[in-house]
Amino acid sequence: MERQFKVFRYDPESSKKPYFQTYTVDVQKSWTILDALNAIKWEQDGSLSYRRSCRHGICGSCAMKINGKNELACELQVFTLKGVIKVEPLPGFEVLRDLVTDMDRFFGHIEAVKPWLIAGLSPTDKERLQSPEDRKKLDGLYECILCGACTSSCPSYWSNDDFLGPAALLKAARYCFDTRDEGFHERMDVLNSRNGLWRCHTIFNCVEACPKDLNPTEAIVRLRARLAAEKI
Amino acid sequence: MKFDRGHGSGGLNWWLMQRVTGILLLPAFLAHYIVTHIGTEHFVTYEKVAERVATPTWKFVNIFFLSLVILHGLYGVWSVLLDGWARKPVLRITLYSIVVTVGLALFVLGLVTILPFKA
Ligand code: FES
Repeated sequence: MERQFKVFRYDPESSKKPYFQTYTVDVQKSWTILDALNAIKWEQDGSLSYRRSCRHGICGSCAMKINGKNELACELQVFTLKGVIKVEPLPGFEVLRDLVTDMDRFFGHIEAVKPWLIAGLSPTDKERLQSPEDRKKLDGLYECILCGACTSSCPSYWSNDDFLGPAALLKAARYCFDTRDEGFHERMDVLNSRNGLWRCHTIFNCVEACPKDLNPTEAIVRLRARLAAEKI
Repeated sequence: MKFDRGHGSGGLNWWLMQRVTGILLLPAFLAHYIVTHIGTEHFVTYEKVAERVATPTWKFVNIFFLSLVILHGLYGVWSVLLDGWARKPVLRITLYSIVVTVGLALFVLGLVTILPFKA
């Protein structure tokens, strides 16, 4: 079956402004958007640039805006969409080329919340054990694949990209609510800063955009409650 | 790229203040509306309002109401500015000074109207 794809193109080395290029692809029933992009790149236009790696919704490389919504190209099947399919880079990030965006700032913000277990000063040569109940408390927090779909859908981030953003705050929650972690106070300085937790306006775009059905807004609200409880 | 945490107001305390004043403003607005428009018989007249506003209790209530409105409203404005406009330090300090000056000016204007008021 033939389907048309209207793909965002931009080459920083040419003087041409960004534009959309339409490709017609003979797709198979089981194809994802990524399969179609691969077919374009391998059979029609080798100059098309995009990121992909795992092809299984795990690495988070292939997030892009498809028909107006942030999606993982490797998870979204072509047959679920009608008409011409519009493919654009993630909004809110600087476009480097075609569908490739600059994720530098995004990962800088993830790093700022110290996304690792801060388990006190007592070194141990054993594993730090956690009960199944305590482990369960991390459900909905640990599954983030860092694709950037949430942060890129956040209007607060669009207007101020110094804002930590939902992905970094979800990552902070993943460690702050880990019963083995003792780093909440270490992270508080960043979370309670002007560009931290308080710039979220509970718009819920991040919840809608997350391809893993996570809820960064809820994580932000829980972090706020914990911060307020610690400070007051 | 390193995270820019930013300095100055915008943390927990101000955020909480915005929520608390918001919650307090709801019954305050309701009380104001009932007392002014429903509690009075027939029409609102200058004499009726003036008589009430001149009492010490109502002076206190009105100053409290004024403080809530100014704090809540202007922090709202500052919050919008922080969301995108006030990115560069010089611009941010200028806008912050304007917001604070406007707030103080409105508060003083309110005080000089409410405190010496006689029926
Ligand atoms: S290619 Fe890895 S998530 Fe899509």
